[in-house]
Amino acid sequence: MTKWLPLLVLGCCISAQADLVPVDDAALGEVQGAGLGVVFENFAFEAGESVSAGNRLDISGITNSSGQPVVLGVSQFYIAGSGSNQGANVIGNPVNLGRLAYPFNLELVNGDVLGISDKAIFEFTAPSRLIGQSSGNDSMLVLATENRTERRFPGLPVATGSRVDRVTGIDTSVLTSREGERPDMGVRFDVNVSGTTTQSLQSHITGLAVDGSYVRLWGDNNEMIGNLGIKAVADSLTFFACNEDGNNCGDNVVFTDFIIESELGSGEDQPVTFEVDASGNFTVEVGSIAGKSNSFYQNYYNNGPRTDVYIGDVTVAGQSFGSTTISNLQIQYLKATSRDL
Amino acid sequence: MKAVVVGIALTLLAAHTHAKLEPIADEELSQYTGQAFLQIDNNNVGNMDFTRFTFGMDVETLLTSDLVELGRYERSGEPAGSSDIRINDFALGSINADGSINPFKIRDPFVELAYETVGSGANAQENLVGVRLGFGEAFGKLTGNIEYLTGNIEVEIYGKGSYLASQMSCSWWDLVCAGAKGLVGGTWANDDFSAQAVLINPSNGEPDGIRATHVGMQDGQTLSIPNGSGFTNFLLGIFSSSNCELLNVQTCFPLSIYRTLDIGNRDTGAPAQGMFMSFQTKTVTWYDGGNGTNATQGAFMNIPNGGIRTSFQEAFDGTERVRTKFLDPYYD
Repeated sequence: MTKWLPLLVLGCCISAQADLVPVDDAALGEVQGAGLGVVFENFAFEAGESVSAGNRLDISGITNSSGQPVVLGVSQFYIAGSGSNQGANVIGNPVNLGRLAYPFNLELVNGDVLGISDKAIFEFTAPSRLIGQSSGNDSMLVLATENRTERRFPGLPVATGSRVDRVTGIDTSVLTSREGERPDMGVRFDVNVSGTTTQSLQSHITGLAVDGSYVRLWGDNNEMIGNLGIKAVADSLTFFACNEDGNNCGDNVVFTDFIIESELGSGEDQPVTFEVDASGNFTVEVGSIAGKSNSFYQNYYNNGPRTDVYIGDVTVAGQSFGSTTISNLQIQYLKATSRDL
Repeated sequence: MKAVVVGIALTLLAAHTHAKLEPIADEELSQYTGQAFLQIDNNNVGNMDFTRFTFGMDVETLLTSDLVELGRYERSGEPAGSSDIRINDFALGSINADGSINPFKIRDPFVELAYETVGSGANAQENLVGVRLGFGEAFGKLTGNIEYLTGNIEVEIYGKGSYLASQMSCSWWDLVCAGAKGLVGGTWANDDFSAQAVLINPSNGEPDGIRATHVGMQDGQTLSIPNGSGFTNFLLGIFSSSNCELLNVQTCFPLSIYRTLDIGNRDTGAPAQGMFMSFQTKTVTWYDGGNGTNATQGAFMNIPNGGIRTSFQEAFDGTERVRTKFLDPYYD
């Protein structure tokens, strides 16, 4: 019976199409769906070990600056549980991606709830975050601040307020993903120029969590508008090079305690748009915040979208190169347009 | 098979209810050329291989950050707790007096990886030794309180002889200085002088590109008048900077007094080429258009010659921080 169901659906659609009427944004904006939660239990994925046997994804159509063809090969992709040993222990070592209480979620949300009036928002969210015991908010970064003491020029008043001085700790209580829900992942890249591959690059992640990430999309004025939140933490990121056969690999470059928390766009006040023009080139824009009220700016600079990046330590062959911090980065305007090289 | 049938059903449904959607013919689609925005280049120099990913993009932005700190670790000969690069209240781009945005512009950003082949034959080992983020072109205002800077920053300082002479303070007994001041402030008063400044150790006038706190003329560096005669420049060549001093004029200045730097030539609008930030596990020579830049171990910033031009007055007095926020703690 089930194999005829699609045909029944088809017949139903054809006969009922006259009754389909468009729903305007305001009406659609009232829709509050329960959403669809997605959990992958006991999940493991391995794209295959043998690159030479064709277990790879080749991205072609690229050239170098001399016009020679270049193929970017992506292979040995895997997702596994903790202790994957850089892809050596994948099958039989599964991981749970999300759980019933904190799933990945697809939902149609009433925009009024998100401050985007009279719009229905398509939302994809990763497992949510909690308020951190140390950070005091949903950020994993515990920050120390300092008062500004500089002037914009000698003789002028000292600047006001405080700013981030350094990262003093990592608050894992923010995460809802538990140890068994943070996968290891890896991938290998090969660059082949006119049939010649010189070396390969491997990247391996352990203990990845993307809790708190989200994509929100809606339409307005024939444009697709969105807000993005990319929040990721990994116990380690390891990079190393090997020869073209994947052997004779060199020293590991290891980033420990890698954290990125990035929000792009702020509701309707700072939309993120993506457009493709007739030539095939695209434009990504994070809207300008020029021309807003003082109260908007007050709120934007205190609570608006921000990006923080932190790497606890970078080590190469046992030598430490210390921490890296980019904190409270706010994009007040960004427009990136592609062009042919 | 079920999926196919459902697919057909959905296709029919779509065809009947959204008549405005029309397929694009192959012929028309083939006219699209946007996919050429990525280039990948492999280059080899000695035992080093470089793979560069260049993105054909025009980017303009206004962004701010409380803190940009790269490479905070203890380094021999450097202050405890210091970093390779540390800039507070960092910004790219500015806000004009009328409230409009004056964006920082970037063309063709790229990411490049450096590999070193160690050993030879079947035992040759590949080491990833560096990565950099570079810009084909960059233009605009870079703002921040620079605490430490590791890299290669070449600053072109220019100005009239009359202003330079006003900064010269000669002792009554120093007849050489007095004579030079007379020439600079008299005969060459309206000539355009030029000098090159680099990251420097203020205690000895030697170049110091690691966790630098000062910029200035290195020992032996002379003033010049680019449009002057050979004889004029010969005379100027007699006097060179020594221990951060030239003809009783201070020639080294703390980076912290330069709150806003113009990247590119603000007079002509010409962008800076070859600007990059990188990280290396050992000294790596990065190449741009055949010119190599030696980047030291750790985090590194490169702003090549001509990337920053500043007047003598700005060199002596510092530069004022521009507005970078609509509610700016330095202005409001």
